[in-house]
Amino acid sequence: MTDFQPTRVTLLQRLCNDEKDDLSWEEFTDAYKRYIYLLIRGMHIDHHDAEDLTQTSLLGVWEKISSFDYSPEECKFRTWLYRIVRNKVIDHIRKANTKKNKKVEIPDAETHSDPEIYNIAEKEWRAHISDRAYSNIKGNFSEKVMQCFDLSLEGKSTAEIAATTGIAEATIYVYKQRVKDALCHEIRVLNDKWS
Amino acid sequence: MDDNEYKLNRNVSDFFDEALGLGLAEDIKLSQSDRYLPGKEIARGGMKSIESTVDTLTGREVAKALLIAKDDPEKTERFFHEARICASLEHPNIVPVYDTGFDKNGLPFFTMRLLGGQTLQKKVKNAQSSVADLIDVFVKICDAVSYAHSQGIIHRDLKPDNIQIGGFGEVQVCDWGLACSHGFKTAHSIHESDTKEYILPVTLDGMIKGTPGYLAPEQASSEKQELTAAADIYSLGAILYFILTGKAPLEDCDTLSSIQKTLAGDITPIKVFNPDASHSLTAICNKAMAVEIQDRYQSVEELKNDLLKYQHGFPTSAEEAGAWGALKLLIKRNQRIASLILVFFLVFNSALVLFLLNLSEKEKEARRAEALAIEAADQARDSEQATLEAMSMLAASEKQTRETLENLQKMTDEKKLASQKAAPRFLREGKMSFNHFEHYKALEQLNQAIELHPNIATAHEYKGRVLMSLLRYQEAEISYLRDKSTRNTFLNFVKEIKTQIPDPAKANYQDILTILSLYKKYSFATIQIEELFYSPALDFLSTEQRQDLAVDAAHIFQGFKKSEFNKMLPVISNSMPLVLYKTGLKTFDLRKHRKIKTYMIRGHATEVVMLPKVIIPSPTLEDIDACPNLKQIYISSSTELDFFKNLKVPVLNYKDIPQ
Repeated sequence: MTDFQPTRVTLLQRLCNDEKDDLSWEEFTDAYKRYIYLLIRGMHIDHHDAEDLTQTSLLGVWEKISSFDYSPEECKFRTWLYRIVRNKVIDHIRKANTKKNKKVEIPDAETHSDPEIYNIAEKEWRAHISDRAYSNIKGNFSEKVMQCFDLSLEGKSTAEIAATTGIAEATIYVYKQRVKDALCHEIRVLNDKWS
Repeated sequence: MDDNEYKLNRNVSDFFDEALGLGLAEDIKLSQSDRYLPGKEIARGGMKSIESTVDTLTGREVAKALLIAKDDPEKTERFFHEARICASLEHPNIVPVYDTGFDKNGLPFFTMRLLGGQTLQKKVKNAQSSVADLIDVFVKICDAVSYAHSQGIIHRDLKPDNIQIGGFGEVQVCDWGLACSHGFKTAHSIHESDTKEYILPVTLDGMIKGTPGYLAPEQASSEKQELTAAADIYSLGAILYFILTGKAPLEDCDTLSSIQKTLAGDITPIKVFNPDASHSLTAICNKAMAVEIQDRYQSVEELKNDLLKYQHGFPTSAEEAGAWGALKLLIKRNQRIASLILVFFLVFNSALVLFLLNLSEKEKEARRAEALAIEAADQARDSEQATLEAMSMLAASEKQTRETLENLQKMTDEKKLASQKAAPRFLREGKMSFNHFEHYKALEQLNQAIELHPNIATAHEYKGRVLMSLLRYQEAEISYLRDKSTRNTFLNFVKEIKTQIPDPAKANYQDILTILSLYKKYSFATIQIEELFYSPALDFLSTEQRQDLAVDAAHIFQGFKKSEFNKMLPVISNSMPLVLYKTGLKTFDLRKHRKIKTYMIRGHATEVVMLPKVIIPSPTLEDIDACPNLKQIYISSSTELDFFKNLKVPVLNYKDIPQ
């Protein structure tokens, strides 16, 4: 029961405690870069601007993270992060407007209420973590196994998969279950580590 | 930067919730199939084995019962039936069932509390506990069975092996494998005719259900009989038998003969194995194990109540105790009190005997004494009379004394009160006396006033003036000092005169003149001069000296040239008649005056007085009285004549004065 204290404390707590070094920067980037990108894209920014904004947002969060009052119980980190990203985006749009001397509509992100922010932030986080978990476990299974699983993800029934792959239904069931278990496990691990 | 970095397969997102869900819930879901760790067998019966194992969900150790013959559907049914029955009974003395189902090997199982400790069987065989402790255990067994009966369940296989006793006094009835629903719900409905046996069509390998010895006759019988709670009561009796003797009933018999003996009620009496067994418990045991159902206890409750009576030392219903038996139990219950009563009884009785012996001797003595006493009594009566009289007198005098004392006390109190009020009166009287030139009387009254109330300033002032006119200057000074309000003139005068006349008690004519000079110097009022002239301190002066003094005084106070007394007389009479006091003058002419004190006329020499012009001459009357040789009084025409009507002396008008 010693691991009751979640491991996720490590990254965020380390950062909050100002223990910033190259390693933690890398881990931080790894954990949040794509997530931030997803958030920015969610605000209808094109891929090119989103890439730039992701970099500036990452740096902004990196600088300000010391002032974030970390309390895992309240789990407000992602909401907090979302606000920083949103401010960066708004700044970016305003600058762009003055430069080009034309009016680009500020995304409705500005007017989002807290629960909406929370919902968006959570949705993107789920997608981000699940996908990363999937990538991480992919190599642990044979192609056949992953094929069965991928097909089931696409919504194919076991019978259809059996027809496609020529593998017995019972075996497909077992395959699916194994990948699912591993995937769930990895999601839990990642979520614990990065939240 | 690689764009793939941002690529995302959103199909996987659905697993996020599933993965995180609740960690605990996930664990429970995952571990449901192998919830119980592989266990160690701790007991094995014909139908099931018991393992001790760990429940990974709750983390506690449990006992897991497994059906041995898993492929027999009847036995499986029977097995789950037991689990259901046991689970339906929630009582601290009935082992609780936690869970039931098929384990991962497909074996039917149920789990229940893992009981530490020993069975009653072992406990008794090892002779670890006293009968009293075992009776406590037995009462708990009765509670459990009584509860089961109230839920309509009969155990049917009660025996010491099925009783678990924990290390902390927990007692649990187990193995409800033969239990069946009885159909009755309360102990009172035990005789209801519609009670039925709901025994499932399951038989054990053997012919009989139950254990020989603990089996009730109706269970052992080959005839099909409805089973009731009475069967359990019989088994409970058998357990009590085992507790008392250490042997199961019919332990040494084979199955067949034990059944025959059970049916015949041929049980070896308890006394054979345990001659010291309590009579009450033996009686209870016999009643519970009666062959005929109607002879047994009608409910477990009844059996238990008898046990409690035994525990508390009351006669039980089973032993049908007489008065003597009840008394024995009463003494047993209250051993300490009983022994105290016994000791008290012995002491009291022996004391009584001694007393009676003593009494007969005393009686003889008493007879002798009586004769003497009668004689003495006669004498006593006489003296008594005298004493009574004396005493009544004493009482009377005592009463008087008390009254006197009370009166005295009262008087003292009154005096104290009166004195507070009286002081001003004495002062007033003193002042009055002094106004009438009664120096000594005034002094006395003022002294009294001061004594009663030392703080009356005026009294001190007057006292000082009295003393001053009596030439007692030393004392006068003290009085003036006490009177804080007094004018300084008196005090100053007294201080000065003290230096000039060191011994005023022996004052001579010259001293008087000195005093007069000082009176003049301090401008004393006429009244002070009067006080001095009429003072008894000046009585030492002869008539001649008085005449000289009159002349000197007229000189000192009025500034008249000194001359012969007779020549100066008219002037003195007009201006300062007071100095004429005791000068031997025969005729006093006071016609010139209006308000004046006439004290100076007093004396034997006075013969004629011409009174001042006053309307009401009453103040003068006293002075007139003090002139015994008075012959004529002349008054003004305005003076009321009525005042003189009591005088013998002729009262004439100024007109009548001869020229």
